[in-house]
Amino acid sequence: MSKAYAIKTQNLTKNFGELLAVNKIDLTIPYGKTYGLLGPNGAGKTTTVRMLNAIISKTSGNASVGGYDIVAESQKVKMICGFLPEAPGLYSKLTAKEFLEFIGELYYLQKSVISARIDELIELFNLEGRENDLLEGYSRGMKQKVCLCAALIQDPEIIFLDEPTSNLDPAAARMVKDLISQLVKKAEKTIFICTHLLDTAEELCDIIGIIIDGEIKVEGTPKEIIESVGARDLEEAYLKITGASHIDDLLGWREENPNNNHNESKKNKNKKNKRSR
Amino acid sequence: MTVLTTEEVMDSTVTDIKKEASIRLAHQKKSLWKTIARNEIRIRTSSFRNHRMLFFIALYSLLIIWAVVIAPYLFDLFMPTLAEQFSDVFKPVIAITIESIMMMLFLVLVIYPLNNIYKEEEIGSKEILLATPVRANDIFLGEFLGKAPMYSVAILIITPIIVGLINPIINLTVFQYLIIYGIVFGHVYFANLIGSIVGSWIEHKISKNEKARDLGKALVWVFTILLVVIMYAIMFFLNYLLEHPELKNWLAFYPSLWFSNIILYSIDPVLINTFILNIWINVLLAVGIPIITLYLSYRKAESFYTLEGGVEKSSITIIEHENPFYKLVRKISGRKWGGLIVIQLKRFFRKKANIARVAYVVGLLGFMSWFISRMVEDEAMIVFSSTILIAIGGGIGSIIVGHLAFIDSKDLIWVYKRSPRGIKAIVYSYLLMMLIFNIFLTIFVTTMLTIFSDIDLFNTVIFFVEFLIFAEISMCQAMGLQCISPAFGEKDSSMKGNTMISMLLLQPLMFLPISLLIFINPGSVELMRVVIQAPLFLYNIGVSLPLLYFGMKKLNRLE
Repeated sequence: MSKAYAIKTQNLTKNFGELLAVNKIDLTIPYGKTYGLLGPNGAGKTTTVRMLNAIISKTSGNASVGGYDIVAESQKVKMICGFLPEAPGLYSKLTAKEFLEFIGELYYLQKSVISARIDELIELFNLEGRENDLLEGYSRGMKQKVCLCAALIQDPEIIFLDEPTSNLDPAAARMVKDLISQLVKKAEKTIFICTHLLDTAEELCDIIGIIIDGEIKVEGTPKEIIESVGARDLEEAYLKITGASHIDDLLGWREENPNNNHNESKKNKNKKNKRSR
Repeated sequence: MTVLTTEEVMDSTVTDIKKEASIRLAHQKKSLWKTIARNEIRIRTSSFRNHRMLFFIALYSLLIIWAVVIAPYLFDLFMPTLAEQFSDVFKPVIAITIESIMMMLFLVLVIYPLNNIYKEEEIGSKEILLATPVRANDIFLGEFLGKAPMYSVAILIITPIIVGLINPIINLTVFQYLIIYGIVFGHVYFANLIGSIVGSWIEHKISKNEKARDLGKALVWVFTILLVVIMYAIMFFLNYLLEHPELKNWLAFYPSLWFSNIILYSIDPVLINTFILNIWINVLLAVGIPIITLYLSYRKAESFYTLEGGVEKSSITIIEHENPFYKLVRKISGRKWGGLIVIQLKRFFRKKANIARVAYVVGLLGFMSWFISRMVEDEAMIVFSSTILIAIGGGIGSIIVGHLAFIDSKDLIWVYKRSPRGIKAIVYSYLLMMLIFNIFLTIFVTTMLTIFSDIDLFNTVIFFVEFLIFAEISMCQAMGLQCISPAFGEKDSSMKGNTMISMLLLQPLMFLPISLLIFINPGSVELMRVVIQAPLFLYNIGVSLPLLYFGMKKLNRLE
């Protein structure tokens, strides 16, 4: 596989029994770019990210991350990648500092480096004063921040972020977006984002892929994707590509079932009463 | 945090990453199981996180004092006298006691890792862990050895008891002490290994799913039933077991016997004469099987430390048609409650852990019916023993299944609260569902009692009605306690608190009938029934209904 690209896949496929989760996807992501993988729930985004991080095995096809094969050189892939999972699951009986120390040790970082990195990240994510609290007392957003710290602790070359801003308040989300931009521009990191937030994708991503039923349907820059379907923005383009239901039909069930119109019939009755008076 | 600060921090981190790369690569060959084990210890001692070292020093000091001073002193107080008084059966009784202690210990230690299957907070962390360079076999070994300090506590508690039992028979040499401690050590760690493997396998097989936790809990109950069976077998069949020592051959492949047989051999080789496996095979199994199991599980750890447990394929349960029983319940219960009761029934019985609970209650009450029937000699005894069965049976049912009304319902409480029917909908529907459960339970217990005691139809009908009413009132008590302090998880502190209160409230139920008969001498059986049962029912109603009333009021005010 090529070392010229941060991520490269050929016919990458994953089956869970008879279920085809990811179907022959081809990705070519250069270094220093931000790639956004968009798609409805169950489209295969998380499975793709897990395969690229060597967390689960592929069924067929090839893939390399940072020039390393995801099967033969899985340890090396893990060394150079940072990963933020969709669910911010943490050991609730550890403090943030203990958890980050643990993750740092798993990446073979030296104690002095771990300590310095934790202080930097705690400050960056505004967790000062809470780093010695047990994680069970953290809000969802704070847990997300700790997970982000864990993904960045070994300063990885390639960073996979599954819904990075979904649990964050607007200020924290803004900070994460700025951080992602800076990681790409200043530190030349490659970022792979899975998100439902189309404005985030449009703002941050150089390349976007839309995955439906395990297949990449469209790929290109946000501008190219918008123009390809004649849409005004990425949201409209996304809805057109994924074939989301039309808003007019959504309240059809009310008219089909007369019992649901009791409020309106009450209004009509009131009107009749008033007239009779 | 401003963007400027972000830039500064990023600059500082980028400069040293290159220097680090070579050092990190040099360390890559290092095994990470120690890191995992250390983390496991940190998790389990988080309550003492500021004084971990002090905690361990204090704990182990106390345990060593127990092992070296307290336990020998306590056993020396009475064991030599017992050994002298019952010298003819002392050795076999001690042998059965040691075997039973180790059998139960094995089950308890296997249960321990199962209790922790897929705690919600650990689901995502498994994904984070697998994304790091740590290998699956290091995770397995680390998690297994990380529990060592906790398991060592079990060794230091149990071994002095075993030593205390043996000491009156033979004066143990240092070598024998070491053998016994070594055997208990091997036994405890093998149980831990089996528990860890079963736990990991369940997690992998059912993966990121509620089912894993459910199956784990169900297994815990199955093992608990086995524990109770062993306990009762020793309590009620000791003489039979002493007369037929060959019976344990049926359990030749139950691992704790391999270990206990070595201890028994060190007391007197005759004690394992009737066992199918000789001492050398026992030693071979006690040493070989744990080592082989550890080696194989270490080598094969990758197959169960993965997220590829078929998350999608195994987590789907399709229910196309409603069970005819539910349809019947809907019809009988009427439009107002039918739907809600069926929902409660489905919610309850679709959890394997709850089915295991029900099996536990049914088994226990079946056994009690049989045991109580042995005491029945005349009609007065029928009344007395059936009253005891009513009191204990109703209480046990409410303690084990009555407290589950709000489990996993934290968000549902609000759904009920804002609905026009309010909180009454969940409380009454659960109580009605429990009424259905109690009807079946009562039919079972009544049948058992009728068969074993051969009681007449009149007494059977009376028992049925009384048991059912009493059990349902006890359910109201459990529900009242849950309303006052709802437990939304089985491990919530309020669950433990409520169960303890229920058990406390149960105590007078057991002593009331006996105490009343001491002070009052009823002339006839009918009068006796009234004398011992009326206060029992009045007490239960007097406690349960106000609890339910105030509980519902409190639940209504929940914010």
